[in-house]
Amino acid sequence: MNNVKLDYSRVRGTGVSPGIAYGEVLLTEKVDFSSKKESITKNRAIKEWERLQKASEQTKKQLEQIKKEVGNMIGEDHSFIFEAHLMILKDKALLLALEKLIKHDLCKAEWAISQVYDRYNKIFETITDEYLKQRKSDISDVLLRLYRNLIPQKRKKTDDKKDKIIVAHDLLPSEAAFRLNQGNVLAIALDMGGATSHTAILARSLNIPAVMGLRNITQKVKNGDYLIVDGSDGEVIIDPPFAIQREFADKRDKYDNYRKELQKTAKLKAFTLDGVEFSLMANIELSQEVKGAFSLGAKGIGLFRSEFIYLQRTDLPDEEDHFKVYSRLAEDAAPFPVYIRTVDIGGEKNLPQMKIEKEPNPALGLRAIRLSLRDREMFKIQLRAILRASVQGNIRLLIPMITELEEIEEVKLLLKEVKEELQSKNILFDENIPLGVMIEVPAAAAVSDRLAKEVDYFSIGTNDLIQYYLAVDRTNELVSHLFKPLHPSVLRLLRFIVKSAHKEGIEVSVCGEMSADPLAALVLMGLGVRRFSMNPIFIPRIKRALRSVECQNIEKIVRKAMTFKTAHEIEEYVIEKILFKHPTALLMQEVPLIM
Amino acid sequence: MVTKKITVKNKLGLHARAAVKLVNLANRFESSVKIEKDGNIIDGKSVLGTLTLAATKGTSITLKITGKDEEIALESLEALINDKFYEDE
Repeated sequence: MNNVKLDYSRVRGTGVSPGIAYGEVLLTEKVDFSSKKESITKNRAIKEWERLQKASEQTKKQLEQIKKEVGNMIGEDHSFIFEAHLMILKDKALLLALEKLIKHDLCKAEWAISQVYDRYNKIFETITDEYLKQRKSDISDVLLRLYRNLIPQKRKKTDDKKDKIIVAHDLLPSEAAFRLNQGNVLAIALDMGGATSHTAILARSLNIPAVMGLRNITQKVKNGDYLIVDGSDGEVIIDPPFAIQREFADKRDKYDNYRKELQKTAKLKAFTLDGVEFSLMANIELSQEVKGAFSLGAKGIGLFRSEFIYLQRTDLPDEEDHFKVYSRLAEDAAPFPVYIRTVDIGGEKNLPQMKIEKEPNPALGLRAIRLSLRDREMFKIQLRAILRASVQGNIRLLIPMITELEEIEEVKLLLKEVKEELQSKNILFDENIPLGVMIEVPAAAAVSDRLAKEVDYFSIGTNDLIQYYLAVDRTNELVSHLFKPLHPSVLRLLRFIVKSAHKEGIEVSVCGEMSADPLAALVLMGLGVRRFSMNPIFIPRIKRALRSVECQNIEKIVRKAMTFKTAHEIEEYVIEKILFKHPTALLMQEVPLIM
Repeated sequence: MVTKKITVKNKLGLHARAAVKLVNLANRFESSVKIEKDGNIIDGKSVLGTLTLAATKGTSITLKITGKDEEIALESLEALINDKFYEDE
């Protein structure tokens, strides 16, 4: 131990995208203005101002282009930051400051930009909040781009093509999207950020190891340093000696094996031991998540939460905004189905652009289909976009929070109106687009035998259904222990829903968290469910659980379990019986994935 | 003129995304929108100004709105800030 090089250091952060990489550091470019003050004549100053305006026009074009590219490549939500950059560029305060410097202080455009840059830097230096302090990078980005554009076409390509590890204070999602897609990024290490940031989601979907929240990694490394980034354990090692490198190479091999296992699992057929086919799908929020989900074995998107289209923006999305997202989903998932759930906004997911009143009891208030039926024009925009996208793949329409039959009748009328409109304009759509409902309100569950005659499929949202049925808020720790998916009352209700669906010959799937829990998923299978949708990372483990049992046997066990009085008895019985017959069914493999 | 003191409640404060939302909304109104924090007054229709305010979570800012549609402008901007710019936390 004593003779090894000790001048290496380990920095802990949060692993947000698993995997291990070793490579050379590429610190993200810092703003570097090198210009001296030169006095110029008044005439020259006017020319300088024109030059700056030309550069500004050029910058605007570039930003718009990037915004468009990033939007197409990975989705509108990632291109949002460029909207901020465009706003900064045309900000009156900024332009005024620049104009004054050039025309009154008689200096060159370069100098003016560097002065304004310094000024904003000073303001941000007095800010103590770390996150806000970082925001100056947005202003820097814009100023740097502007500065570069002062000399047209003389941009040098600095980045060599070698694969590198990106080290930065923070990586704007747009920037991340841009750089990660170029394929020469080994890993990411950031001072800021966390597991739920879009950059993290993106890194995971592209299988790029990433550690965030490292606080000051940018100050500890320089270009050319070598790093190990361990995205599984959330650690970065700077200039690791050979022994450490070898240790991590082993770890990387292990992880790669695990990935291979996952991929093997993803390729396995979804059949139980006795040959009953089942189907596993993914719940997602962003259109760019499809590929990642499919690589884990998803055969379709069982739930696309369309409200995220609204949550990412300041204004209301128009039909084209919707259409772009749905088209991409349909294309990426085809031939597999995409269940698009119409907006579930309202209640606590309030949006000022919709002017929804605050409610005392949001879970029981104006949300989801209730809101859509009140604001019909907005709802029709979404329906039109979904219908138009339906010719590009296998799209299904899913209506949330249905409570009574009248609601589905109204939806059908609106859908008919929209279809007729499209027909009159000769716009193509899938005339037989399947229409289904979420069963998540107990009232809908209780009349599911009637509902089944009206729709093409059911999707059971077990989280809300159980919460409403048991009157338990599972996020309230005083009562969360009462949230019991295996409560006999819940199982009876679920059995009734599944039977109602089967009787009318319609499909039924489950998209709540019960789907992602091996024991609960097995119980659902015992109740007759064959379609499950969940957070994609759980798909491999559910696939293994369901593949390791005989469906017939599980059905028998669950039938018997339904005669017990308490959730506890049911759970005990089911576990014991399943393990007796299928000892590996509930084995949760070690999951080095985070989240 | 209408004025109102409001506390920034979202975890990240008035960061770029939030600032853009605020400025976009402010620009939809005819009235002039000023924001004051610790004696500094900035133009609420300027994203740069709004960013330099550096309003973190828990900071009190004062909206000063003057013009024909000042009432509705105040109401909308207040809703946006109180709704944490529709961020999760």
